[in-house]
Amino acid sequence: MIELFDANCALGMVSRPGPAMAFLTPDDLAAHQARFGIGRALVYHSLALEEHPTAGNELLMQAIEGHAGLVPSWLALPHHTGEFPKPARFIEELRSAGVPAVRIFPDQQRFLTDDWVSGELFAALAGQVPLFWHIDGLDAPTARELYRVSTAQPDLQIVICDVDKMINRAITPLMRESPNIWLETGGYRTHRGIEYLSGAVGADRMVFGTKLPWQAVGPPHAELMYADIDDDARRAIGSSNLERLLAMAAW
Amino acid sequence: MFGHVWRHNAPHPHHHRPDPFAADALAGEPLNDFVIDVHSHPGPGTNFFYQGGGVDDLLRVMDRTGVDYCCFSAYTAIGPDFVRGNELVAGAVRDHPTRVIGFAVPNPNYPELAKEELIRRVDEQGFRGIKIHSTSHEYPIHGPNYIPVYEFADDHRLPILSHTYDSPARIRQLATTYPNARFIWAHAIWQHIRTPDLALTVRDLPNVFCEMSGSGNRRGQIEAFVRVAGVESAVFGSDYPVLGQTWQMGNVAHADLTHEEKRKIFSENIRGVLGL
Repeated sequence: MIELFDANCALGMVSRPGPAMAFLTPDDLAAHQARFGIGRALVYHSLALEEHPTAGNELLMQAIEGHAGLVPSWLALPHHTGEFPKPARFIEELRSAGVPAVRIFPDQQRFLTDDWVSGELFAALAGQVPLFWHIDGLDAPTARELYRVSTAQPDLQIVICDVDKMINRAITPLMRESPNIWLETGGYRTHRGIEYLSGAVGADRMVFGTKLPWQAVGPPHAELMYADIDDDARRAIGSSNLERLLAMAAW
Repeated sequence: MFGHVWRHNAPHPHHHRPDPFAADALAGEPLNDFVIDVHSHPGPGTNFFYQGGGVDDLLRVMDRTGVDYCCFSAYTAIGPDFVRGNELVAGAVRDHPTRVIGFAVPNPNYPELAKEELIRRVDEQGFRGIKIHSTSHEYPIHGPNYIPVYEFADDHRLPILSHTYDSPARIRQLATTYPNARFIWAHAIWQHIRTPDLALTVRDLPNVFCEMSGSGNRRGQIEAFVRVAGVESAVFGSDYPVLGQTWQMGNVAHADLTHEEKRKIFSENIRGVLGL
């Protein structure tokens, strides 16, 4: 069984878990992922999304202590309202805690990614840690914004997360134009999508993800396993691309 | 009423020993059993791009996944030109009779032509089912122009594949009015919130099947549907290439169900209806 590294999963109670519920403990999450050969996961805490990043980020570190297979990722917000640290301080907190990745959910947490809102944050993250940018859909404004930020901050590695199936016409030129754009495959349910994108832009900028606990692992796992790509590419998407990406963290 | 079965996070006995379907899917090997995909649409994408999508592409994907038969209705047929689409499927049925099952599409906005198409495709060309798409054709599923379609299916004991955007009450009404027709409701578990109502409705309707594909299916939804509706109501379909066949197959193959339950979903429940 190919060993996988999950780039997109959440730990903790959620408001709308679906029939199979959420994973309340790291052991439960890890046990479920192990069924699919997922030995490591870049995880965030559900409360960081559904309550507040500050609370969730702290809970995450408490929850995963001693679980080597779970790698922490923190959610970030712009600092203007005073509810979240200024970027320079946030970077220090990441460094101090050894957190190698940051996530943003601008659509769900209702903030803009324009320079006058998030530019300082992006500039601080560039060259320090990869940014996992969760979207509601790759619509025209979102695609334009991803292009703008990725070209304005060429040292910021941006992983687009939670895509849907209708993205090829946008994601293909976006990834070709911006070598610092990556794709997380947990929502990429396009027919032969992984195979297509491997040919169109290369297999070296896709990372496997599951969207646990909301989505089942089976579909994204099958999408990777049945993709008509060579085993090196499959392993790269399954784990080594994410390893390489996280190794870019400055700590 | 169904809360105790709707939510389930108890460990399943098969968690640590995958059944043969899950084992094949884990390895990326073709499923080593009889598998029928009741929902596929050869043709290029209209509002988004995917690689392939034609008949040869589907046959290639079927070889990779281990799907033996696909029920075909053309993407073009549920879109602008149902005659042209049905003709494309007729060619596929002729060329690949052991892999392809033709489903004829009638566009109810052209009632006379729709009737001619059904007679021609089913009676003369061996199509074995009907596909309707009331959303795409912007015509209500209970509208008068669909009545001849249902009557045709009832007379010929044919399956009708349709999307599931109508109420469970409407589904019950159609199933009981046309008891010899077999209704396959696609994307039946897509909208998580409404699934319990649907499952409770269809469990007492032997001529209704629910197809499990969906764009945003939640974890545990197939299992929850089966617990409420009974596994006999569930069938596998992918909506290829609008949705990936591998994606949807993985959802069923890895579900927390027994091997026998998966066999029923993958083929046994619908095999007789399709004459296989």
